[in-house]
Amino acid sequence: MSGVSLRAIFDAEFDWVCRTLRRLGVRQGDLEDAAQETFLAVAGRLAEYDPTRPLRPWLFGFAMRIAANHRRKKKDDPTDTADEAASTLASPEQEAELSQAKGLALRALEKIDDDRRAIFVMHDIEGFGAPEIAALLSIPANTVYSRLRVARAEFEGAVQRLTEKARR
Amino acid sequence: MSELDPLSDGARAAITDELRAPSGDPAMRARVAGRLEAALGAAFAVTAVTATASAAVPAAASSVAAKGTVALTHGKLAAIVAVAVTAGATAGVGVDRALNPRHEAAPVTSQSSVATPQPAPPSVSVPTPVESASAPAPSVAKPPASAPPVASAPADPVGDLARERALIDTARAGLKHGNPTAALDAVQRHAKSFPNGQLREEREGIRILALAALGRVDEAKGYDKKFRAAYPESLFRPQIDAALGTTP
Repeated sequence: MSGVSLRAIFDAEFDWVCRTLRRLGVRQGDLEDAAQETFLAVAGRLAEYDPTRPLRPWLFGFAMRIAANHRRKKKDDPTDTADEAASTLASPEQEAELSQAKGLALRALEKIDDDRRAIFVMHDIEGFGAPEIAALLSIPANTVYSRLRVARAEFEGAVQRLTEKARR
Repeated sequence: MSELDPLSDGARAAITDELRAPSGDPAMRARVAGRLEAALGAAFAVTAVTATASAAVPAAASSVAAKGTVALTHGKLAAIVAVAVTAGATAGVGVDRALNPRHEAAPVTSQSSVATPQPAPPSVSVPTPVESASAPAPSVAKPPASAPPVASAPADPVGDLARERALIDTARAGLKHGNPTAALDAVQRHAKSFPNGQLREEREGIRILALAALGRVDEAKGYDKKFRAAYPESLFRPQIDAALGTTP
């Protein structure tokens, strides 16, 4: 049983959920649907939330699943050409504009494999502890660290490449 | 525990910018709120949700979808409800497997899983026990009665988190490179700057390990007594027990 109202969670965490979905690879155009799906999923499991536990890791699990569904749908749909990655075909001016609107970190996050990106987001952006991530994902803490190391290398590399590209 | 090298300045700056990026689209928020309210009715608006009421939510939403009485984005409610309920059923423990069935991940036994159904807390009538805007600390959240109000975000959660992370990374690196003095120094700086920081579980775990490595076992055991009480399910436990020669 939970003493938390969905409305309270929505009011407090809607923006955070949206940011999280974006960081997990949901496109801006899909964000509204994904956010809605996330809160509907939360509604279905609200009774299981323990208010003595931190809320965000719990919400993150829902956002992660919804984001994975969106990424999968995008990959499975050959007619879906609205990929934001297509911005590489844009003019330098358009690309600069897109980059600025989107932010370096979001673009760099796209370069991290999906399984590692969630761990990177949880650890290095959200500040979740490795034990907490391990519990959320049902994986050993050492696996969290090993994936995180690779994710960090991918992120660092992407930041460097994107920064150099922007300077040219 | 494992150790991580600190992120580069460039990567840190990118993350800081991302955390500072303006978020929130009031129009989108209003649209989604309206649709959730229409789909879920009272289950969305009520202050306290009981197990019965919330368990009825998916059915209610599906019912609304079936009747087609609510106009949602792109007319996708039915699909959304189906996806959402599925996600709800699989979120939390096992999410990784759902995303990556190929992984070797073995379930951990820690009870700090946040999605596993938990016994009802003693006071379920306290409204809005939502964490503040900062990322939650692992394992030990304050009970609702003492939880900060929703709007009470720290003055600079972004900078604080980055600074916390840097100190903890330094402490980890100290342990990794056989320099427990440096690890302890970073731990103490973290404790001074962020006594109730978001990474305090990691800090205290590292503190105990560093003290043990320095041969200050009695001191380490003193800290461990508090640590064990605060984080009974911590994944630091086996390492601490090994370092102190204590029984799990």
